[in-house]
Amino acid sequence: MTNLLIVLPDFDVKPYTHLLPSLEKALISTADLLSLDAPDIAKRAQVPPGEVRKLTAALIDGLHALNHPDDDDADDEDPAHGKRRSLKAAEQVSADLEQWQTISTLDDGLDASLNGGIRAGYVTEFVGESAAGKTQFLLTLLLSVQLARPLGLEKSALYISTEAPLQTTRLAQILKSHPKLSTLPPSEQPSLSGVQSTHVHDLEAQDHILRYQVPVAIQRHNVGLLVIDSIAANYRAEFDKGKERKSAAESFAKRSNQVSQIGALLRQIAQTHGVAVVIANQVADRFLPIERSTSQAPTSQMSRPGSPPQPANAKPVLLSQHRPSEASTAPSLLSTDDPLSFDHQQRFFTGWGDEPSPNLKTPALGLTWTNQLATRIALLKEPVYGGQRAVNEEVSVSSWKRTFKVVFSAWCADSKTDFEITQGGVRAVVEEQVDVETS
Amino acid sequence: MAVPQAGPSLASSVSSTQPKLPSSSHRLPTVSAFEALQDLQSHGSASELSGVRSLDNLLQNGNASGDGGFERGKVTEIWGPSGAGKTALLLQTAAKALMRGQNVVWVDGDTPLDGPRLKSVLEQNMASTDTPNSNLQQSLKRFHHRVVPALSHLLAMIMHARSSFPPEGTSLLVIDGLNTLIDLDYPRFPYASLSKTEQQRWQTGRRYAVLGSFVSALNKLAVLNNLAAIVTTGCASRTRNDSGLGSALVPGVGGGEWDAGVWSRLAVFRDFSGRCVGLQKCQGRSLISREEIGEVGKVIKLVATKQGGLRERTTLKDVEQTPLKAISSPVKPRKRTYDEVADSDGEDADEYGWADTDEDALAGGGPEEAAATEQE
Repeated sequence: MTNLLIVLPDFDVKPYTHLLPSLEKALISTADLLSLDAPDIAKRAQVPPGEVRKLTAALIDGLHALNHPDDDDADDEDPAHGKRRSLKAAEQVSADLEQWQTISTLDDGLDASLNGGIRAGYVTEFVGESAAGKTQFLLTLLLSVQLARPLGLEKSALYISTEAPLQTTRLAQILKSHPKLSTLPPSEQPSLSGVQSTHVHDLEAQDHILRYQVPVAIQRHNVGLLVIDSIAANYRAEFDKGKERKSAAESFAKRSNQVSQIGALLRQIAQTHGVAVVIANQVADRFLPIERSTSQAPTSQMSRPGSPPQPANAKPVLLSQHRPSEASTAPSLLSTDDPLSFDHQQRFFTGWGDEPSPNLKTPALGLTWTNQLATRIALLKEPVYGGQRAVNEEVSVSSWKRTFKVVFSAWCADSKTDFEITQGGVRAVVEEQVDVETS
Repeated sequence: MAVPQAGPSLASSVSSTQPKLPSSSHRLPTVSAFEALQDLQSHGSASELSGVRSLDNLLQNGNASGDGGFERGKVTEIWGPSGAGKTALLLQTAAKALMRGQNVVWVDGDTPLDGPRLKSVLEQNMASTDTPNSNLQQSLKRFHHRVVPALSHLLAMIMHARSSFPPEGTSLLVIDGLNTLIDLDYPRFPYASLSKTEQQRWQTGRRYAVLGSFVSALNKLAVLNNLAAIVTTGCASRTRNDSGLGSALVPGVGGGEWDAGVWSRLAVFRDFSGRCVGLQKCQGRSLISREEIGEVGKVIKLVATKQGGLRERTTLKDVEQTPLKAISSPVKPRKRTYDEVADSDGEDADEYGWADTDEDALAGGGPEEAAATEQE
């Protein structure tokens, strides 16, 4: 029952205060109340079943008022009214089909790939190596949220940092040098005073701030964008070692639960207040499994080769070409015999691995965190080796090829766009058309 | 327990004049067999099309009545990793149902549905069938959207459903993102340590019990309202130590009771050349064995369209889908009927007249020997 007031904040618990401690001791939650019969609960918690029935009925009434706000019988009573208000804000973001609430990245090419920009009401993640450009995007968004529609939401921004504090000099530089921002009249320009920032050092402080202080700050300062840079930093120190008595599996399970609680909290903030929640995340290296020689000569009898062969530097085509075409349908349609293996599938939902590249990364916090997101944007960075190469000379990196890749999104299609970082922020690289003369 | 409006109102059709029973009713409305047969013939589709022809055919799997697709009155589960295409597939199904004039209830568990996305899918479907655009607004009015913040809200909505829910004429109920709701209230491994109190052990088992009650309540809702209920979940990973392979993706919700309550299961996942849908359970029968984690069953390839829908991937080669081969048992000789089996009981022991001659010759084995010789 610990989550009763979280589930229904306006629930009146006074008639049931004699029940709640016993229910809590018996570890009966709100969902248990709804899915078990009253006599079972009464037996477990040693409370009278009639009281349990009354509590359950009141709970169901309260939940129905929240779930179906536009029904007739929810109109008259006052207790239902306050609950309806909170859900109405959430529904406004999602159910209002005409509304369009996006925060632009201030570049036409990138905005086009995002169908307008970062959508409010969703949790978006920017993931990439260090110096891939995550912070540049976040700083640009901090400024563009303050602009008028359709570029922004005319609201302020809240920046929570976990490692380095907010780079105000860079923010001022973007404001001064960005082509779209510097040309605006001073009354419409965004300002640094529209950005609130704070710093959290550990996981407990992060949880407390997100749960209790952020909702207050959102309402007080009319915040439209919440940025957390980065989410993984506080997890590393806490859960890596684990305590002596606990096993690694237990601390891992505990961490997964913690991650999903944070994810739910962020989604709830995004939906109830209509803010865009943007998270920056870090990556770890990924190592490919060793290619086995047996997988090079597949026969039709083998149902499972060892591990799917990794096309390290070759194009990722297709095992089916080697295989004699037979009546076996599944192997000839798919590129590998083990399509649901974690290693194979994580090429597609992490952003690294669906193209041949020696440089594979995996976003931190794993599959649990991926399930919390609505959108993942991966910023890939490939070195471009330039210059002539003598025999003894080392290859030097002349520049970086940066890619803005929408891995999955709730509001736009997957895409890849090259971009570059300039003094004024980020901008998409537009390939110049070269006219080829034909004779 | 007599249903109050049983008599004349059930005569026309089952689905449109369904008497609204109180949620505590344990009986389904009764119809005579003749009326049910008439209703079946007159009502046409008993399923919801997904828009992908081979998927619809696979789901129906040779069932003659109906055009295929997700069956009404049943619960379908669609699972897959993020970004695979579960929501896209369901948006297409919902668009087709809306265009046919039916209501759709869409319940969001984690990520709310994007309004402009629904609109563009609806527009694309309307353009392909040349329906006038004035229907767009009316179709959108038939789309009922709900966001459930926590599992308790969903349980109240489905297990203790109000009589006005779902609205009349609903043919499709979508619950998008069930596993995040379940994982918050009942995580998979809350107490990994060995020392558990009895209450902690009870709480660990609650996850599967709640899933079981939820799926049976959903089945009941689907049958009573004649709608197709579709649940989507994300994925979790499970290690496969016995076969020596790495870990594989599995559906985010599971358990014996949940599996038994789900009629069909689809796995949507990505591959290098597009998206794939694997049919893992169809018509109540599982197409993959329970021990094999990571098997996909029958696979169809799909490609995402620009407007957010999914269509089948046409390949250059004609890839044939082999139908499910029923293993035929060897031909047995026709069984003899009861009358044909020779039996000594009804026959006259003296058929050949041996008893007279033998009686003198043999001491006391007359009738038995006569029966034995007749059996040959």
